Amino acid sequence: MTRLLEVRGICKTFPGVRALSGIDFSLDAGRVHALVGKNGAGKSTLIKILSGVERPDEGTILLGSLETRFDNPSSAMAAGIAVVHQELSLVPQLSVAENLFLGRWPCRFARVDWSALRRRAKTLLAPLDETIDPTAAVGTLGVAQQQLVEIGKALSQGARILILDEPTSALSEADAGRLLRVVRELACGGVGIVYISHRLKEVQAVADDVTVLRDGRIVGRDEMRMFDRARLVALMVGKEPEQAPAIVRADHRKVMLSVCGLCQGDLLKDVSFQLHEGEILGIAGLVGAGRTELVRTIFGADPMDEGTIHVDGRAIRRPTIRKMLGLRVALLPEDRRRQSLLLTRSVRENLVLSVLWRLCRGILLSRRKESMLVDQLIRDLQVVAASSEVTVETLSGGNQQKVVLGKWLASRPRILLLDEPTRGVDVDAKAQILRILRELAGKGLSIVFISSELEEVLMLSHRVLVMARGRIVADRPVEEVDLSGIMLSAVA
Amino acid sequence: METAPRMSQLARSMWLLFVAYLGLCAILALIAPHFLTRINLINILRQVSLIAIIGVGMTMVIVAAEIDLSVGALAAFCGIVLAYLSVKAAWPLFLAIPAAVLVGMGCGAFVAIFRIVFNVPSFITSLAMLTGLRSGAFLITGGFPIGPMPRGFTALADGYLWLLPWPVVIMIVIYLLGWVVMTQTPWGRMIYAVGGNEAAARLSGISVGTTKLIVFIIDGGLSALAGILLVSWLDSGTPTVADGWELDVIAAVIIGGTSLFGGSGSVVGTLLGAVFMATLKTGMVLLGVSPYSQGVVSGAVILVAMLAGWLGGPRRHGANIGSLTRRLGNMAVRRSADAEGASAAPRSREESF
Repeated sequence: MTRLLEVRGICKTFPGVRALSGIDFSLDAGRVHALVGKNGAGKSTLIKILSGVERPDEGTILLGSLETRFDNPSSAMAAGIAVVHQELSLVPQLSVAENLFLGRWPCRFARVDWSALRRRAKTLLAPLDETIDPTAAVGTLGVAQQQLVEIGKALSQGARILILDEPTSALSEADAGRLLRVVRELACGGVGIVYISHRLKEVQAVADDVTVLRDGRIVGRDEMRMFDRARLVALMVGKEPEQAPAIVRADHRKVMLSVCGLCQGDLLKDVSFQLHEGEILGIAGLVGAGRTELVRTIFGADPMDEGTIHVDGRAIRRPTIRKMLGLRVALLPEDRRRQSLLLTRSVRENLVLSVLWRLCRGILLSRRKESMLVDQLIRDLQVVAASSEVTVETLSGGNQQKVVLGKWLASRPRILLLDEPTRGVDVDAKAQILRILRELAGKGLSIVFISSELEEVLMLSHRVLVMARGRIVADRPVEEVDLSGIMLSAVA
Repeated sequence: METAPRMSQLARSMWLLFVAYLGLCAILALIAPHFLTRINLINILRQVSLIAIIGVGMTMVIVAAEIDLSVGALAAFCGIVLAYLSVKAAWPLFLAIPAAVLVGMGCGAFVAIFRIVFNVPSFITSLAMLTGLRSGAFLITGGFPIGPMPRGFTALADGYLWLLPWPVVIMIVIYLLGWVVMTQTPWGRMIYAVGGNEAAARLSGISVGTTKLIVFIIDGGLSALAGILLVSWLDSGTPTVADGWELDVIAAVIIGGTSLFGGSGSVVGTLLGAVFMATLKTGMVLLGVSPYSQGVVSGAVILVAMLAGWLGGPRRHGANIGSLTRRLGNMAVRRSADAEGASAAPRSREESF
């Protein structure tokens, strides 16, 4: 068996974080090597190092038996390492064939040789999926086929090592199965494949070897058949965190939000749950499990196909954003830069955006009312900014997120839907945000809390829902669940 | 908070423009003998008023991250509508003037509806409107001016309120209103929000479609108003007037510091921009600069204004003096490295593709 790639003793530190320490990893020709771990375990950092995006602080990379250094992604590419990311890098308007050989089209007399291009595309696609038409525009293909084109593109550049980063997260079960077969076939053809996925079932089906990362270290590494799923999960999760201090149970309180049989295309299937007054309901699940779609649909930002929603006992026929805001329901969306903030406007203007009419005297905004509200929010949330007049883009991620939270607290919500409120936020701000949320719940605010960090969900929530593939697969009080339990149901 | 608010990007670029304007005036006062006369200054204001009136609407449109190329043609068309109704159809002015304004608002709404309902970029719809309305103006008139207007109507453009011509008074009133709307009311905040981040605005409960519709209606109405004042000035509805005004208006807005990407800008800046360009043009006429070279100078001024904004601008696009010098430095390094490596490695050329 030929060794394609080996790394020894890789360490990488980012400001304040030890991302990787002492990583040894190897890949043989014809093998599929799975890389698993929780969010933040260091998988993406390792991929970035393997593909030349980041350079390791310590450690060596051996290609074959030669020590190598990748200065940039193109030098890794030249060495035969290609990464297929979740976000594809294809040009949707160009044909499949053009994409496969992007920038390296076969030429005759300075003119693209179309027939040769099509012929070569056909040969390249044959082992992947014969049904893909090389002349079709990539944009007209489904996600699964685009993914195959992306793989074909990597192979056309002579890739011997293929890194697949969560390739199935956006695919249906059938498409995922097809992709896994292609992965196996490629491996049989001698390509080495690094396979990253949260879906342990797939990993078990496709991988020969597995490496488990936790907190930047390798905690398990062997042939796949030596592990069962429970053992993998135990390794990924590690020590159970201490349970949160006893929190008031909310069962006897009244139901603020009740969702029944909610469906939306393939994304949400028959979702039902209840949220009580003063309760924090955590929603765990993998990326793509339907958590974001669930809260967006409840808020009226996306249309729903079926189901009923009751807010404080009132049936909502078709939720719209305005209607839900009127009922004092608020959504903090997952991407604060794209969906929440006016980056070029001031902190003040951002904070009052959803309550403009409340600050008016007649039709004019009252500066006095506005600055009173803004000052109070900045104080309550401990936003660190030179003044309320600086633009939001100059603030740190944590403070930006506090501004977003403040914007929604200004609307005095009774139900607050939070989609990843702690993503990209530093440790201090994260702790502050969690503390504020707990206080608010104590005052009777009902909160839906989505987070990809399971520890956080367990720490904050009274009750935990787990979603997988658009369904709720578990709904339990926090005392009855633990990390491994959630992980197991989420990855099933 | 303890620290005083820093001056915003926009305020800074507006000060820069204002200082540049004072400089321009000083130079012209020194070398152009008739520049500092009352008549000349009033003339500049009169000249600027129509462009500046449309500029208020255009500022709102551009802040909302849209564009309207049809304003010049729309002004001409609405003028024709007014002249036709009052001269050919013998409508009284108190009916014909509102009718012309309504036509302007309707055309604005048309562009907005294409944008909101069919998702056609306003650039395209308003470009179609530009050619369509201009040709419509010719169709209605047969190519000849319609006039003269009823007695007394020319007073609207000729007359004075104390020292100021009526169009200038109207301009000032509209700027006051525009400033209040944009800075003191929820509607203004909504326009900035829609242009700055449409998704965020929508999730904050702001109706993006309605906001854009209103902005285009205001813009169309103000174009019609400019067209009406123009009819009063010329005492006839003429299909060829206001040609190319859309560019003058957009130039004023952009020079005034409003971002073409939407989300930031101010009507005060637009007024400054319009006055600046009009002063420059008048100055060139006074100095006897050939009409052929005037365009070159105006174009250069627009470029310099943009470059100044770019260099002093926020760092988010990596566009400032520091990054510019860094980038130039990098280019120089790469070029010299290329020169060294050129003979050594034919392979490296391949890799660089």
